Amino acid sequence: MSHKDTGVVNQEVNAKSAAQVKDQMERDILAAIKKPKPVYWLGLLITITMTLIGAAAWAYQIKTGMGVAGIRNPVGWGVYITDFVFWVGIAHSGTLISAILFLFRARFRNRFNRSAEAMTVFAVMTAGLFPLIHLGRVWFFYWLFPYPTQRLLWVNFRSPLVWDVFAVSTYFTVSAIFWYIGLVPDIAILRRVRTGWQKLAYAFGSLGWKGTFKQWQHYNQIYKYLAALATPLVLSVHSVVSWDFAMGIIPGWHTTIFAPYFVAGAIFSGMAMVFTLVIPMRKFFRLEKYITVDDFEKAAKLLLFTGMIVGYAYIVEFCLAMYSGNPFERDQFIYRAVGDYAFTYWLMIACNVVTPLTLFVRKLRRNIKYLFIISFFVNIGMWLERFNIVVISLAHDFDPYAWGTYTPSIIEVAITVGSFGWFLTWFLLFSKTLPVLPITELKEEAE
Amino acid sequence: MQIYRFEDKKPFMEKLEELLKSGFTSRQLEIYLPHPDHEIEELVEEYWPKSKLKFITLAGGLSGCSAGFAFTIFTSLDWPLITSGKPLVSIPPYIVIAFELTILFGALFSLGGFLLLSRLPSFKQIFHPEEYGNEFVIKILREET
Amino acid sequence: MNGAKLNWRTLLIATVVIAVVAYLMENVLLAAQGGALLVTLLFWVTLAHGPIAVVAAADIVSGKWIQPYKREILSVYPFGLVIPVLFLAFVPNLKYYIWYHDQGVWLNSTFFITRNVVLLLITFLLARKFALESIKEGPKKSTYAVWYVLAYVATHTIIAFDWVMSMEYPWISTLFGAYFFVEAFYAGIAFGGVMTFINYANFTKEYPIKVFKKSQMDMGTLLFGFSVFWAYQFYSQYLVIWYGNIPEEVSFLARRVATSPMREFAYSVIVLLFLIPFVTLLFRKLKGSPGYLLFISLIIYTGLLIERVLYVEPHLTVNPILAIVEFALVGGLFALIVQSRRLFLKLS
Repeated sequence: MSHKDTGVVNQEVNAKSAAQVKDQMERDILAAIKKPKPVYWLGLLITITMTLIGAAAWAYQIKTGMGVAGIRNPVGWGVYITDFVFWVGIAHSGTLISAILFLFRARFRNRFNRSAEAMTVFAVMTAGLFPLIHLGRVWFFYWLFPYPTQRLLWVNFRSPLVWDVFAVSTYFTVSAIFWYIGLVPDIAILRRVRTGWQKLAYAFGSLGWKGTFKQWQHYNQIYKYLAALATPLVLSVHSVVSWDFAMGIIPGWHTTIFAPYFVAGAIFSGMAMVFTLVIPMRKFFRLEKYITVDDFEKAAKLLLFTGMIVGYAYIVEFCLAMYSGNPFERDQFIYRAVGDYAFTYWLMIACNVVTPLTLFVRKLRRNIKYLFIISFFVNIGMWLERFNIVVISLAHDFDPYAWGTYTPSIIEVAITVGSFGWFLTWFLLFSKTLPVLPITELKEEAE
Repeated sequence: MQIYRFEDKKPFMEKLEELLKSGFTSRQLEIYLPHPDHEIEELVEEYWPKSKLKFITLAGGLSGCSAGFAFTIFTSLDWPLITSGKPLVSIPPYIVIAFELTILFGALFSLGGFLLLSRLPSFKQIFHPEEYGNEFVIKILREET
Repeated sequence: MNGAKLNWRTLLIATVVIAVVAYLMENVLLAAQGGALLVTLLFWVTLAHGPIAVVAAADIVSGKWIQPYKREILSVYPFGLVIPVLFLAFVPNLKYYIWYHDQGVWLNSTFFITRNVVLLLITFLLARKFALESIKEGPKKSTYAVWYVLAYVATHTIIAFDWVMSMEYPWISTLFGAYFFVEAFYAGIAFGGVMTFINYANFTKEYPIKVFKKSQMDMGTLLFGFSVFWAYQFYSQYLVIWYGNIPEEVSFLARRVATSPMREFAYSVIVLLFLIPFVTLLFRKLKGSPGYLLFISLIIYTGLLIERVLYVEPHLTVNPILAIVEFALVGGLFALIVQSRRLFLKLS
């Protein structure tokens, strides 16, 4: 009837009836979304300010023109594309935790999946802005979509940029559906608990979920199918993003390992972001009882694993560039290590390859504070990885006459800050309106 | 109409099995669960039909896949323009579009099918919710068919 | 099970005999180029390391489904010793490699032989350590599992880059190493599929039918998952090369898909390794049938074998008769090793 994973929850089963235990569980988790404390409002104020700074910078860029960004020939892709890839990457762990770990029946998934899925949706919302920010005439963004036009033209389906449109919008739709389906029974609990206008709002949100056997039957099915659909989707989305680069023949971009390596890197950075968000959330909302150190240890192992795949890819890329007879490829990798961007390159190696290896030590894996710190290293490292890929290859391609360097302008920095503000604002709003842990799934586990 | 309410799963399952054995169909009984449960699902599915959702999902996936190929091929033939030395109808890149649409249609069909099969949204339940909290409930709607 | 059994000494003697026979056939009898031997090696190395890697991965994530299969799968570990010996028999044929007459620091025959033999031996030793620890559920099994997986990844990466990619010098594909170790893993799961059929009576005797069926279903699901993953890797590599269309890269594909019958073989690889497993394993009924799992595993092995012929054939001629003889000899040895698991796994 019960199993040891649920720890504390279990001990109470003897004393109370199962229904009472579940009531207690509801109260504990829903306590998190009662009246916000001042520190919450302060946090929200900061993130909204950041968003506004970013919005103002973008408005200025639209008004003045793309010249205010630092991108010039030969480096035509800079911080905006870096941010795009970074945020798509962040989105990945949500689907990984929800879908893949669901299919593998890993129990620690239930501790992280709700926040991770929310993170996915918000990160895709953030990522989707960057291709638009990068556009010279953003008001024509709808030209990206294939629709019948007066000129009888269609988009070029052989272009990786069009694949991106399909991949990212599919990803947004599917992860939003997946997130929402998981939420429906939990919103129904809120409908029962709340009163007044809130009750009505949650009642609409729950779609009138009743919890009959037949509904659960279909619910279990759709959940399984969405997980099965989302799993290959995760692989495809970041692969498509990687092919934006790999389809070109620029040295450092045109390489076959890019797709799996980007996927692993995305999960790596997404896991780190989960740590960055869930560790403070667990503390503020007093959820230590439900998200235990054991759960974190398992997630840390996943971080270590994906980090090692990323390390493997770095080594293989570098060694094969040296092995190949191609002078451009070889020169590109030497330039990365000793050229103008050597600092960001070695910082990336330190953050992504070296620091995660410390997680082989069991004590560090089980140290929540340490995990929190390491998650920052990984976030920084993964941002730099994308920066290095995007910028260094463009700065130093075939012809020495066309070489050049790139420094982000203040506008690009402001928009990047704004993107963090935008993402965090959504996350803060989510954490106070919807259950941050999947209540019904935890109940099932406690049974 | 008769209602049985249980705090715990065990007595609930015993009662449920008894009712199912005596031949109650899915039209005669309404069962409320506070959370999904695989044991209960296994028990009930011995007597009642399984969910038909998989056919809807499959239909969505297949239509997405064919729509993806059909649309990409149609548009490249509709305005023939060779770019970067690739054949007009290049299947390798179109696989990407077809794949994404397979997933997209699969997920959208699943969502639609799920709402349809589980009778959602239900306005009756939105405005006048019927709640049983964390109890397991069996409601006998009709004794005889 | 009855029949012939091996111990370490007979295993070594048999291995050396096979290696000598293979050497004589390739170099003295026929003056072939060693293609058949390379195909044999490339195929059987997946079965020497892949199955162990499957158990190691399951032990790392403490997957319970592996339990019924553990003994059968781990029994292949002594086969890891056969590969380096057989590789030495292939060494004289290195002279047909494109780089042989213009050696550098990395592509240098002495270094080439040393690193391959050393890595294969390390992998074998770690496999042995892991297998013996895992079979008695010792406390260090996860640690050894991690070490084994690292060695496995390194070895198969080097195999891919040295044995196959260096034939094509200066062609490079950074995914090639990962492609190889994922394929070996796929072959390892398929070995579980074979064992499901062969050992079905024993499995159901030792475990309650419900428990075993659950494990079997998981095995089938993993096969399904890896068929998708295989296709993904294949496509990732293919698309980048196809799209880039750089002469030195695309010639790798062109050599294999431009002319018949290579083209038909190349298509059949996709059908065998992806389409058939993917479509049929969607059905629960088929996944539940041990006979079908055997069939699908053999389909996968056929696909892997054809793929290996495709790698080798454009550079080293594969003599079909030699290939059949060598393949059968090594396969027979493999079967004997699996039969002799009581001794090798130190079971009472």
